[in-house]
Amino acid sequence: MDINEKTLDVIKEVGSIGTSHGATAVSSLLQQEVKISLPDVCFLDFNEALQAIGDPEEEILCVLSELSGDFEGMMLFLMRKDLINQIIGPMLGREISNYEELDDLSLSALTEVGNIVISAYINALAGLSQMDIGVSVPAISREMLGAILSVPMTMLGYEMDQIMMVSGTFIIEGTVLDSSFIMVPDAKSLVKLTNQLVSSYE
Amino acid sequence: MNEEVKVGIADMKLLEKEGSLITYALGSCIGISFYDPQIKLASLLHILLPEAQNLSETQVYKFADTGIRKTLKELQLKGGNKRRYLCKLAGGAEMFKLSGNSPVANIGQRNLESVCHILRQEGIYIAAQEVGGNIARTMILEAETGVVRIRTHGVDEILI
Repeated sequence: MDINEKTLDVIKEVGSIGTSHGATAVSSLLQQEVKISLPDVCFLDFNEALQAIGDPEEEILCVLSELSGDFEGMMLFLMRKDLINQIIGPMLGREISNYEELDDLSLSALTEVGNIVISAYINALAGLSQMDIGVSVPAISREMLGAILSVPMTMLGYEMDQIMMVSGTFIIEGTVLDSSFIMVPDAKSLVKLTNQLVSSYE
Repeated sequence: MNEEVKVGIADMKLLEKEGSLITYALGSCIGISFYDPQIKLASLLHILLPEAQNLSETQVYKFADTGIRKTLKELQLKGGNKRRYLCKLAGGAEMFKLSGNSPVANIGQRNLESVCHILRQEGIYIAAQEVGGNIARTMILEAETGVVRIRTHGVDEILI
């Protein structure tokens, strides 16, 4: 697939509006200053994408929603321990040092936060692109990073060998946290999104 | 020498006599190892999806059907004999509980069914497997012994 500089720029711009909505949502929930870094947009082969994201065996928590309607794809919200503690600390007065310590209440709170961020992002994207986008009930998993990333790859696998990821990193009260969220459009929606957005920016 | 060769997603590697083959973090994907003990010929394949949808597909190792058939051909070229192969499987899990109308719902299970079907067609018996559930697995095949090691979070390494 041909993705040029300009398209990436537009997607980055839209991503940054989506992430700032997501950040505002978390910020009001936690009553803390939350920012999300300028998004990174990359378009990589599956194996390159796995390498770029880190250690495939690293255990991580991920909230995932599927997107449907005018735009199909997935949103993944990857949470590492520092962000998890920033969330469940103020909400539930808990702190974990490994993922196994997360109880059902913490997991459902984290799923809900994931849902809020994902919905805020997608609402912004839907508004900008004038598309009707459905977001599924989020699912949660704590497993190896590589296995989690293979989920959007199975979605894409019949059509492409590459994955486009729009990702951002959380900054809470000035501290950069090693958690991020990733939007992955499917092949058809990627074309639709670029047509819709690039033409409206021209 | 104890070389460790990485096998990526939609990838296959062969090794003879020494070293090991490793593929990381199999979720719904399946790792399929073949081992010919007589000549110590080892292969590890990492497939993503059950079957190729068109014959002109270039990424043969992405799919269970084209991937297994191509691997068997490559093994044969190295002197492997199908009747001797020890075949072991890992993966085919479900990482997220997704709704039934999701395009990737039950993909681990569907991968597994396809792999078992192709192996049966090829007359290959499955010697051991660690599949299903909702856990990710790293799979390592030792070329010297044919032993497969499975690494998961939270439990000790399993030998199969």
